Amino acid sequence: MLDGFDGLEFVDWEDSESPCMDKLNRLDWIVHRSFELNGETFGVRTNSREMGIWLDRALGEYRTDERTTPYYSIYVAPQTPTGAAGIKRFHVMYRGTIAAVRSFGVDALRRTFLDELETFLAPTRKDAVFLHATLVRIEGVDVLMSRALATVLDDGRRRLLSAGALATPARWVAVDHATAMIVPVPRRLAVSPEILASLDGEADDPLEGRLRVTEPVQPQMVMTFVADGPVLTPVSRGVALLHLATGTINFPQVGPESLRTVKRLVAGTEACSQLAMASPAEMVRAFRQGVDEAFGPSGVPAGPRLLVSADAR
Amino acid sequence: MTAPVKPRTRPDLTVVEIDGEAVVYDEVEDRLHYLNPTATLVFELFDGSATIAELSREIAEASGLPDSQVERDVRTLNQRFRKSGLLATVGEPAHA
Repeated sequence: MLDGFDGLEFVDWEDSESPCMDKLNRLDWIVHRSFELNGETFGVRTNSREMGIWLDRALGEYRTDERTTPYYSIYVAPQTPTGAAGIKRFHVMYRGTIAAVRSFGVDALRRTFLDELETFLAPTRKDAVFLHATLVRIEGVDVLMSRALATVLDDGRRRLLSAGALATPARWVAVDHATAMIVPVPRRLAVSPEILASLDGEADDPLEGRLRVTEPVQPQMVMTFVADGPVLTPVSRGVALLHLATGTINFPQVGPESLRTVKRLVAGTEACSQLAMASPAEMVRAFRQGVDEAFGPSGVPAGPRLLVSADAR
Repeated sequence: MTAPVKPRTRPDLTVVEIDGEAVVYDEVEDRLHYLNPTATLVFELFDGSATIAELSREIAEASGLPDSQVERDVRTLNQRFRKSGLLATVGEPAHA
């Protein structure tokens, strides 16, 4: 089906009315592997023999013979164009039934898959504060979005991209202890340097909606999610801190110091908002509106920081 | 007749302030609490040195608000803090 881009075919089973997993399961998966990372066992399947070989090479140290249900599905689109001339298909990495990453490049898919797997190691790491959050860039404004909001807002259907935003594909970010800025996640997976080197070199790709954190970033805005209430509500930085801090992956490892680090991160922002559950279209509009109200349509700060008080709980 | 309680926050809590608000981490319960500016101010004043009536008079003088209104609010916050387990129990040492 076409998704608004001339000449590009999007493989998007989630738009079907059939159950997503049924759709996924009907694809021609030829390689199934199980891996164990930090005590967590999960399955990976792919329709590509080459991808299967790469998985064995890259993640051989973590492979296990235990039978698992696939959690990740890596779909490598056929190399030979089908249908109209010039049609190009996305390769897709599914997290469950959500298309977490779509890419024209197999290497980009591999790299983001490795980034994703680093999540399994995060709970026992101390070298940064790891938050369940996604960095979103829109009109030059960097927005740190809680994982819950990013999941609801985007859920693999390219809604953020359609709003003109780029987002990191992973649903977690690393916050540096010293600078309290978002930094590239230092790799800890035991993957050979040759394999990692072969995957480097790609910049952000607006078409695919991917954003890479390649240098320290101080977000200008925090957006979090609440179950109900007005679709868009400006909130204080204290409320934003609470929401972000509850999503600290390695809180048990770092302890209360992580709260102080996240506080310094939030203190560097200029506006904070929360979005409540609404239709996807309404939420995307509210997201844009929230950024525009705080920074103006061009990303320039629009007046004083937005603050609102809230009751003690 | 028992002496009026002089509320005191637990010394083992981690309190992080930002813009006059606070996020409090209770390691024992593994819970985070958010305090708005008013709650944060009262929380800071709960150091075991004054009764609620005394604190309320202090706040009323500083803010210009009526004593009765301030005392009602402080008592409400005292109940909330206590219910949330943020206050030290009577007899507990000031520093753990």
